[in-house]
Amino acid sequence: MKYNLRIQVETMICSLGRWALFFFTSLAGLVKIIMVALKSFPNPLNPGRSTIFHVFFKQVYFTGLESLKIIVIISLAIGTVLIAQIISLTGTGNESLIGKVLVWVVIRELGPLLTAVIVIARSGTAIATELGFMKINGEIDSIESLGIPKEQYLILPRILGVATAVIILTIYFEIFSIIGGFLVASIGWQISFEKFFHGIISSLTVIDLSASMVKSLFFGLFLSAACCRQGLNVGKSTTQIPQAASRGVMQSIFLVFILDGIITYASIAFRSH
Amino acid sequence: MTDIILAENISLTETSKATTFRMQLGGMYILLTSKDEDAASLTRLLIGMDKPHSGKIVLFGSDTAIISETELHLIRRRIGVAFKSGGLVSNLKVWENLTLPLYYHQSLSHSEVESKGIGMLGRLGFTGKYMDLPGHLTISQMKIVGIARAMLIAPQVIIYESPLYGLNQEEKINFFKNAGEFHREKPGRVSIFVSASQEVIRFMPEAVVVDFTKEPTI
Repeated sequence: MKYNLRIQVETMICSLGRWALFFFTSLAGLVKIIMVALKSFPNPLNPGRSTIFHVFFKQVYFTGLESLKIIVIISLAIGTVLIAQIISLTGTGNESLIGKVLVWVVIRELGPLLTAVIVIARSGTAIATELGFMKINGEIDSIESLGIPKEQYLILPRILGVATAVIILTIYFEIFSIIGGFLVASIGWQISFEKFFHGIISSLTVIDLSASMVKSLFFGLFLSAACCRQGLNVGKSTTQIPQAASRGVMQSIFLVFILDGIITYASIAFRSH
Repeated sequence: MTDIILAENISLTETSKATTFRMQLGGMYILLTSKDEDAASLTRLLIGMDKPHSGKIVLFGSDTAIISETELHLIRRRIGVAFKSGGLVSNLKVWENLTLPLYYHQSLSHSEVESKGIGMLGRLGFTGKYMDLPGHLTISQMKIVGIARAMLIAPQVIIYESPLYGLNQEEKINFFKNAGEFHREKPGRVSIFVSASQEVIRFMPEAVVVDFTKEPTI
């Protein structure tokens, strides 16, 4: 009995170790992809810059502009629900607390996190699927045969494009959450604009805004790198494409939550110093 | 004569016999394989996308097995490859596919790229729409765009993978006429036809044949 328990504990520790090893190897692989892509950033004399920027702007358009509608609707809904819940809990006349909770929840956490999840669902799958199809159809080889490195033409603009789009969408998310919150507070509880925004501004710090932007940047970089890697890892069968897309999504979501924890703790430590 | 490509004891598969051949400045070659898959493998070997199972391939004096990816990319800019089905990027329009290497590697104005691109497509008899995605084209149209893209960069070496695939008789005649003219346009240009079809020899009787089906050594 005692011997069995010992084996079970050992197995559990081994599994945990294997998982940790897999996680850190995977993370190192993603860091390598990002570094290689950034290293391939074209110098000012490279005539290919405009072509790379074209792919970058297409990615920003697809990830950013086309997702804006969804982000606006979701953020307005989140803002209204959040304020309604806070006011129903604390009652009116507590505008500074409303502002604090809004900053804590939306700007520090929900803004970057939900934006990243929406981008993963919409663009992450698209990136993994697109690259997977290109791999199977020999299009990536065809691009490389033209003397165009895939890191420079395919990965760099996608990673930077998604990161840029996530940062911009997070800003929109936060602004529209506050607008949604104000609408419900002013219509439902007759809270004035001055009181509402004074509550937010008095709670908002540069560290909060910086942490939010740093989160968005890292989420954008890592989620796009994870999806690019899954797309490029597709072999020769078309059945691997949906598998790659779902693996890319799961890996990205997992990474986003882990990174969120790390950056949150880092910002708390920074704040306490 | 200078060797542009030197293949020493290369084999397409682990079981096939090793073959040695050299391609020299200004030469025209037919690499005859037993099947289309071998033609694709051989094309990949010639541009350093794959490493040979045995032996080595030296491109412009550099061994493809030991040079860096960056050096390989620089060498590939001197080689035009017309893939079996065109090798077009599916999310780029015909025009974007055609002009991609020009915009990427050469500092040309839009009007220069436009005149070169339209001229090349017209010369090869492209009948499709320039702003269509490749998915809307027929195989022969995709192939023509792929050939035009390979020719447009005015390469030192041009490789045609399975050149007869997807073309009707009239298109085949037109293709070989253009390929011959293109070969003669630049002194020292090397043209390589990698095919599993003996018919290529009939169209290009002046070319040196390296027969991978009989394991020869030149």
